[in-house]
Amino acid sequence: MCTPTSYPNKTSPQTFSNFLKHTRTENNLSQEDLCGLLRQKSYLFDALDSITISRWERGVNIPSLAKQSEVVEIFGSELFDIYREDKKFINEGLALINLFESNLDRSEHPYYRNKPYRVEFIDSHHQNFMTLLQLSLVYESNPRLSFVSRKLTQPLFCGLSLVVAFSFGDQIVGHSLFCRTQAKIALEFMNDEADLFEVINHKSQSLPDTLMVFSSFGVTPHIENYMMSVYLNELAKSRSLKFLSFNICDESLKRKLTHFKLPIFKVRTLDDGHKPIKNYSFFCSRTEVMANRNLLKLSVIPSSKSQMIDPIFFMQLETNI
Amino acid sequence: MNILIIDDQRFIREAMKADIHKRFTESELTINEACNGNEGMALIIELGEKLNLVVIDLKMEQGDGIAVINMLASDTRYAHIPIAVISSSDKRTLELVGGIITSLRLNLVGMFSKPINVSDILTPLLAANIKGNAALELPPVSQGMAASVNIHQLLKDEQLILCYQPKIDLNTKEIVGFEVLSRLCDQSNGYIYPDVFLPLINQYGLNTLFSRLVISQALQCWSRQPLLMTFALSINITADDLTCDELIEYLIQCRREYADIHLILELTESQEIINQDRVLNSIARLIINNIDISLDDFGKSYSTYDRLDAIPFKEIKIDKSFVSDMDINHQHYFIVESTIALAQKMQVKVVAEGVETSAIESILSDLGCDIAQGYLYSPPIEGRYLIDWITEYSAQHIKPDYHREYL
Repeated sequence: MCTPTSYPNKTSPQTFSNFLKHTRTENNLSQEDLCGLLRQKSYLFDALDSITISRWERGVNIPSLAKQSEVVEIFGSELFDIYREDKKFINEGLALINLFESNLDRSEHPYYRNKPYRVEFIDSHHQNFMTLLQLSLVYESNPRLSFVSRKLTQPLFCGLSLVVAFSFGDQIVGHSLFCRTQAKIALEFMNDEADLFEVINHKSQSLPDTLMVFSSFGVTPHIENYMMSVYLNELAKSRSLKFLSFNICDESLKRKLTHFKLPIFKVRTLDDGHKPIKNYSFFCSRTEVMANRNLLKLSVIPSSKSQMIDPIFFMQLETNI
Repeated sequence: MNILIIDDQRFIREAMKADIHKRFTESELTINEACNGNEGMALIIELGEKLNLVVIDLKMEQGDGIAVINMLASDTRYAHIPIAVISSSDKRTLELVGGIITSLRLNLVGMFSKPINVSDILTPLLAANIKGNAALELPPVSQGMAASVNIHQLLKDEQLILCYQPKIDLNTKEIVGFEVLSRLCDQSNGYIYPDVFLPLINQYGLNTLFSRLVISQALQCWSRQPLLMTFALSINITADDLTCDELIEYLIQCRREYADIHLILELTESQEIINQDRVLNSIARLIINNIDISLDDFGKSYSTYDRLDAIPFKEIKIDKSFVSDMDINHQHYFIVESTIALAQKMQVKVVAEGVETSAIESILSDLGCDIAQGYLYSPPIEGRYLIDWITEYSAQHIKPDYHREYL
């Protein structure tokens, strides 16, 4: 049986190679020492030899991201920690939100023509929170988010994160809606045994371990990607968040997630009174998210509470990061 | 718009025609009628691809609705024709037929209970026309994915990662064991799940090689950690694997080499293979060599009772599709209830899979189910996180002196 290798064409080996070389010199290890250490720490590397280590370091081939994370975590880091330091990799991420880099057609949207847009984190105390929440969800056919039409007071939404993208003239061109919660409550919500407010205001003593997304949308694929990057970045930055989950009715978001190869955890049919609506749940571990190249790419895109983005000339990396 | 209505009741056809005419001008509409399935099929052959909608009643003499549906599925030229099924059958029958039509990959507009409101049918139909043919829009994900997976290379490169999902004793809340769940990993897609790669592995005849890899990796993981050795290790195996004598030898040899590990094989696969003498022979050999056999996915395939009779299983596992919604689905509740009762009478341990909420957990406890498995306790856990998970779980759920010697 040969040792782990991988697919040089699909990923730049540089990040992992540099990490290995750097870690080895920092800890004063020879390639044999490192090999011995990995074999001792993980049964996945039982068959590892120092020739393979040498190939990894030279970038001749590298293991899959899932196996890379086994190595990286032995040294107390995560994939996100090493990939967010790699400018080349971040540029690959930026290409997903940048028209200039991509081959995708320009927007055919009636009122949005790839002009710069502004992304804002709207706190639940923000004076326009309720209005923006309702506007963002106006086309959302998710009966589980129908609270928006009810007369509810702002404090109930404390803990819910709303991020909105505005184009020129404050037209909303994208949004995402998510919160931190407990896996147990997220599962109850997916099974319709808890309502949204129990998810947002989980009273548990323990730290939230799950990031739950209810809605994520952009009028172009680029804005859509940017809105995803916001919560992926938040997940990546907090190690205490062990799971990423989605509970959505939006078919296009579901298509995007399955296109990214995330497995559907559960499909339920909700009866909205007049027509049945499919409700999709996704539930992934942190490692599943990080080992997924597209999601890892989006997670390293830096975000801030308020930011202008020009989809044609987005961020010159040399100056901004 | 060219529409065919197949229904044996004339007043239904007339009422629908009248409603449809309200939505279109005379010149853009042709409505054809058939008063039974056979007549309907003849018209489909005659009109073929010109049809924009076929409305089908289920219960008819001389060719029922299912016959029409099967006929549509028999020729790819008809696959795109939108179908609306109308029926006075109960909801469960409609769901069943809807499932059949979807699995035949026909273009289903919807299942509609009588009395029929024509706009319920026309609205989604016209919306789909604007968007392009919804049924043909995207190939099923797993199919597209399968094409991009090089299974030989992934196995050769040992891109196999095992995850472990805990099985919990419902009485004591103690961990009794873990089920091994395999993932393959490649550079771009992250994890690849068994629903995608198992068909490929079988297609290339790699299944025994694959099972061997899984068994060896799982035993490596277990044998390295004294704490893990206290828990049973359940590995999935197919009846097809059991026709391979080398694999049986390997398993028996593993059992001797790792005598301290409680090994359970969870058996799935079709009835045809399992009743072969050869498979029964293998199972007997495994049992004699102290390897427990568990019957997986109980209730999912059609004649599992036969197996239960022929083989001395130690455990049966109730499929998660019955368990996860048994609090709201009465049929599923009855299936789980009677399976547990049956297991108790036969003195076989019963494991409920797919436990996701405390509500389901307490129903299962009340029914006397022994063991539960599911996301309520944990999703499948990567090997490297197992010890941390056990430590954390034990601290929360189990009285302090338990496992002290290891922690």
